[in-house]
Amino acid sequence: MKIKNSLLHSIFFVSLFILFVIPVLPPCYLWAADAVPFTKNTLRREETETAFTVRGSFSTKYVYRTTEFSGAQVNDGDFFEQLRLDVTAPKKKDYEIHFLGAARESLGNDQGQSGFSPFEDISDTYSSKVTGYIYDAHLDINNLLTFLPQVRIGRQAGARDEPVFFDGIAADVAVGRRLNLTVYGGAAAHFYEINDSWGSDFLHGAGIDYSPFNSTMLSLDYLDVHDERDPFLGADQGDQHYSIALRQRFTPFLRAMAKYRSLNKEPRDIKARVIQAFPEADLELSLSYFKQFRTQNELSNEFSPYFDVLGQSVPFQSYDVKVRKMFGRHYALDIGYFQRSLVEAREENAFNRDYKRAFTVFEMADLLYDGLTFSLSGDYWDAGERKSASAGFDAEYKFKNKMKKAKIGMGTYYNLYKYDYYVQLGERQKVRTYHLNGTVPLTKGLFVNAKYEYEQSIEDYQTFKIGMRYDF
Amino acid sequence: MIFNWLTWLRILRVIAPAGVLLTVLMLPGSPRGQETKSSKNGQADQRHAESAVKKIPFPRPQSHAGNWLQYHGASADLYFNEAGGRGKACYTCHEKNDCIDCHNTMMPRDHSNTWRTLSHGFQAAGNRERCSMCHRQDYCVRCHNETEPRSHRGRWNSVNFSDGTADSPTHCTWCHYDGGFAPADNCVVCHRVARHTSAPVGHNISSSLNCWTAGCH
Repeated sequence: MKIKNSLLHSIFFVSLFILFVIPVLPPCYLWAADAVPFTKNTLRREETETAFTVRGSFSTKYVYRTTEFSGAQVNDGDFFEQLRLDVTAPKKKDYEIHFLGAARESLGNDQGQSGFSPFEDISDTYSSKVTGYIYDAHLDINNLLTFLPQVRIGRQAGARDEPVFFDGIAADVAVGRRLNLTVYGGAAAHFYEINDSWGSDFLHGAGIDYSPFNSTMLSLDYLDVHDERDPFLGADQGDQHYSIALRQRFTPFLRAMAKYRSLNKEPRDIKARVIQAFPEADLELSLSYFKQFRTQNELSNEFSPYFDVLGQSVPFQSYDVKVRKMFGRHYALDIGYFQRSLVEAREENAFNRDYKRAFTVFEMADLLYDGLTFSLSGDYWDAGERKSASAGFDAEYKFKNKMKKAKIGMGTYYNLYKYDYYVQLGERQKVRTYHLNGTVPLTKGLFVNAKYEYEQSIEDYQTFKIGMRYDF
Repeated sequence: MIFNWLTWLRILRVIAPAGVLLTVLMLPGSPRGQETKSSKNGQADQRHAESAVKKIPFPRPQSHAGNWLQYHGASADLYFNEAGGRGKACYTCHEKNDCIDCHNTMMPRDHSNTWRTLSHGFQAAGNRERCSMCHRQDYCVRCHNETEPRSHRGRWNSVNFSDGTADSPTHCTWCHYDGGFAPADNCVVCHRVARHTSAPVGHNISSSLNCWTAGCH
């Protein structure tokens, strides 16, 4: 959703206000997943005296890019911001507010270009230099009634499994001890739609989770979407989506799920996944299978987001295998293989391809010094005549200075494309990227970070980023 | 029966690598935080534990060690929606916004400048499912609707008479031949209707580009 300048500037200044005011507020603890062995001296989450606690983060970043293009040196600058707020009431637990928004200001004069530009990106497609996106902004009311554990009002993402954004209301209903119902609905939010007018697209849905046993969960979902289309392109689109999913935990280390979806009363796809861990061997194995049954033509934005560019999606099935193994506390290895096969090979076209992908990542942690990590990665894609390979090496060193964590990193990444149909520059296209980055803590929760990147390709790009992040 | 050692050698060549791989994978691991540590590492971890325990009352799950960042997508679905409590395991430490926070702001490492201007179509062609992990509705059309690709320059759309010889615009061979029998069907990304005056009326280009299979050509 595009925000008008005045509103965005207000958000910008409020963000700055928060940035400079929050640091003088009483310190809050940061709840993040960090490495710490479990001990008997474990503390409970600190209960503050205040009615509400505010947690979140604010980050800002300046990005400068430069390259030589058509014999001249050209450059571009952009300014990014992100604000996240999680307001909770630790004692009463009756209300919560969650917010996540991002803004960007283009500092160059590159709005609305029609020709190719080496720095063209999505923010330049707007008429305004300042664009903003609100991903989450909702008020949660907890335990409004005995059978209503939570009601959420406002912009929210993914009330259930389908990745939809909407402005509306969602409610969790406790039907029974083992049965939960979620209903939701509102105006669909489409962030990049060209002719978007708020309220013209809407959706509603419901989902049930039923756990007949502690290790079993059965989910039923319904989602109805109405998408207003440009009258020159066709009639409005309405889609009804149903799904049924079964999740089963066989043992503490063996889990599986299967999900079947139908669209407009026709079978859409099926997905199955199994994860097995072998703790004694420090090994984790994941297997996935997916099959799309029918050709997917133009649907609502929620169900075929790329149709306007990529066209229809023909039936296919895919297999995905991932293995993750740790060797002691210093070495870790990931191996993965993915294969996508069209059900009817003759239907292969530019945007519906058979392909295979294999990758591996090898990590060496704390090998020479505590905090020093090396990683090697490789990736190979094979889509018939189109192939690509990539390899990367990274080194990162995390260290503490007066109890403040800092880190520096450097690395290189190499891509080789066998064929690319956008340019006629020969069969192979090589891209080499070198990067150097660092993060330095200034005070508790406040970090400054910088990154330099040099990319050798058709154009040689240099990118410099400097920013800060404040976690509160 | 004559012993055919060549046959057995072939079988061994297949089985041996698989056996070695299986043996390596099943080697006993040493979960972080549970193994016997060297005194240096032990002291460091102890200091870390003392400082960290003041902040976080939960142990980091063992699954989050090593290359967890590369792997987490495989298991997030199952753990996030595990039986007995939707998202219970993840929400112990993570906030509800954590997924969207990263997936909207942190780009994969291959999303370089060259990726943006040149290479992204390569993988979108085969794996649009990967794109949809982060890119929401209408992301593609926003740029493709208004900006010409890199190839549309120079002689792309004009006839070169400068040297006294008529030369075909490069887009003719690009669209109609593409070095092979199939047309470069990426033209339909932007062009839904052939704009030539020589094309028959109503000569629309479909997204599947079934020029031959439809029986027209």
